[in-house]
Amino acid sequence: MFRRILVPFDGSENARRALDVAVDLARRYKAEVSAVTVVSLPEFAASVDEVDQVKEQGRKFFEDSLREAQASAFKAGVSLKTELIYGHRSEAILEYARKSLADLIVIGSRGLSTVERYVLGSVSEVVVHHAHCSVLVVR
Amino acid sequence: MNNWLIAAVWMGLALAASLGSVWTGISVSLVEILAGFIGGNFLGLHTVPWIDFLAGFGSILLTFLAGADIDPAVLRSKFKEATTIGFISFLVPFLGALLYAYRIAGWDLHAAEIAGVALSTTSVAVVYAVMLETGLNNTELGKVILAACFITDLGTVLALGLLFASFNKWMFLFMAVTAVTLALLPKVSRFFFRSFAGKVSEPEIKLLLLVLFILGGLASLSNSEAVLPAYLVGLVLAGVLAERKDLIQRMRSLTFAVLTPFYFLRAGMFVSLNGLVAGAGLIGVLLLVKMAAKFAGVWPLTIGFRFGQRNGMYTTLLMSTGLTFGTISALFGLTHSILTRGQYSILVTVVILSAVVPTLIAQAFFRPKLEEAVLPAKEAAQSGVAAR
Repeated sequence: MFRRILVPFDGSENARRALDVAVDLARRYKAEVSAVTVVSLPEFAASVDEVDQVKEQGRKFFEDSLREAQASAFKAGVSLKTELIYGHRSEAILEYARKSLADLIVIGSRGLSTVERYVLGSVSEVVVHHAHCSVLVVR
Repeated sequence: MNNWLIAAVWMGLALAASLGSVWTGISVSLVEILAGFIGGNFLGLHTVPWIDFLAGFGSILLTFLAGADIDPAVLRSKFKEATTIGFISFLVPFLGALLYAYRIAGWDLHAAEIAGVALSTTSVAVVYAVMLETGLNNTELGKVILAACFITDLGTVLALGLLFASFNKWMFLFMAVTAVTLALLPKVSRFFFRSFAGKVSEPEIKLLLLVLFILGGLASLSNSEAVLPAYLVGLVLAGVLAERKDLIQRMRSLTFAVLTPFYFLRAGMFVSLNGLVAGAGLIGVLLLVKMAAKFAGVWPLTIGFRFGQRNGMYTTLLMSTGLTFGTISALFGLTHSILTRGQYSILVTVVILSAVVPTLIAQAFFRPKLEEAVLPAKEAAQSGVAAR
């Protein structure tokens, strides 16, 4: 039923739960599964160095958790493709899903309160509303 | 208040700005300007000579690092397109903003020249971040745009450094010493870095600071601006420093942790709320003038270089952004009594808006299709262009 599953992955507990579900689905449907991590760059930076610093810090921070995710999927018998991209979280996830021809996005919900959702914005909500394909939100 | 308590107030604002930046994802520099504005208008924040020095030191290092960011291979491989677009992208907005401020807004000539310089800039950082997000930084189009941004900023820095300078004996000494330094520095620094790498006392950084201070001092003696030699030194050392990422990393940490907060807070502190209210209309008009002038200058060239309609419009909008050199130019005008507080407030606000508005329009309506802009892998390898 599903051939290409995408998991937005930020190393959090919720993202790990979503990855477990995606790996399980990938096994059942013999689907490809990939994890994408988005590093947010500073808006309207004053220097290239500021951008580079955020980029490097993000890369260092997420590379380990992506490797762990790969190892855990491998243990479950699934090969996980990982990618680190830059941009606004929800926009970048949606665009990556479109480009990679994903037919299912499995995303963890952070369980934000009403106030937090208003202030911080919910990535999963935006993805649910704007994705070109099916979306499964894992709580 | 003693110096330590003054330092505590400024560092407290810098810390609040850092946290605000982490929380909102907006550049720390912009949040620092905002924090400075709040401090100056509502909290009684004021400056003292040593803060002025640290802020000036911050702007010199910021400019040096900006110059050092250029990839010489990219500039060489796309020299014609980059220099043409970059120069026109400086010249037309410079003349447009100067003429508008002088003829229509009624500013005096020197204030209008500062307006021209401040609004001629292109923010390499804003463009670079957008490129990374879209993946365009590895494409032919992206490389041309980035290289052109450096040329535009070179025009801005040269104009700022030379328009208000006194052409006396100090100026000739400054020019002679700068020319010799720029010619010798790449070889000397490569040898010096090889000989003294990895020492705890950081002789490499001290050498660079010594050069920047000497040239900055000579520039100031001739009523020029210390950021001019700093940018030029950054440009000529870009190739050498590309091999020493660790050194750049340490200089970057020093600059961003200790120095630039003072620069951006101070830049925001001088923006007056009354000036903003009184100049609201002019702020909108000057932003339009800057964007229209960039459009008039850059867009026809993009068509001439066969960028295509969409890529051409995207390039034009990104070249319309500006931030660091715009604020440096405006602050130069204020501190040299060329601009009034009101004029400074108007210019800095236009500069900040020019970082935001064109970027949002470009991203929302003109984002290029990546496949149209991708440099074929074989060609990229042959040209020796390194992806960032």
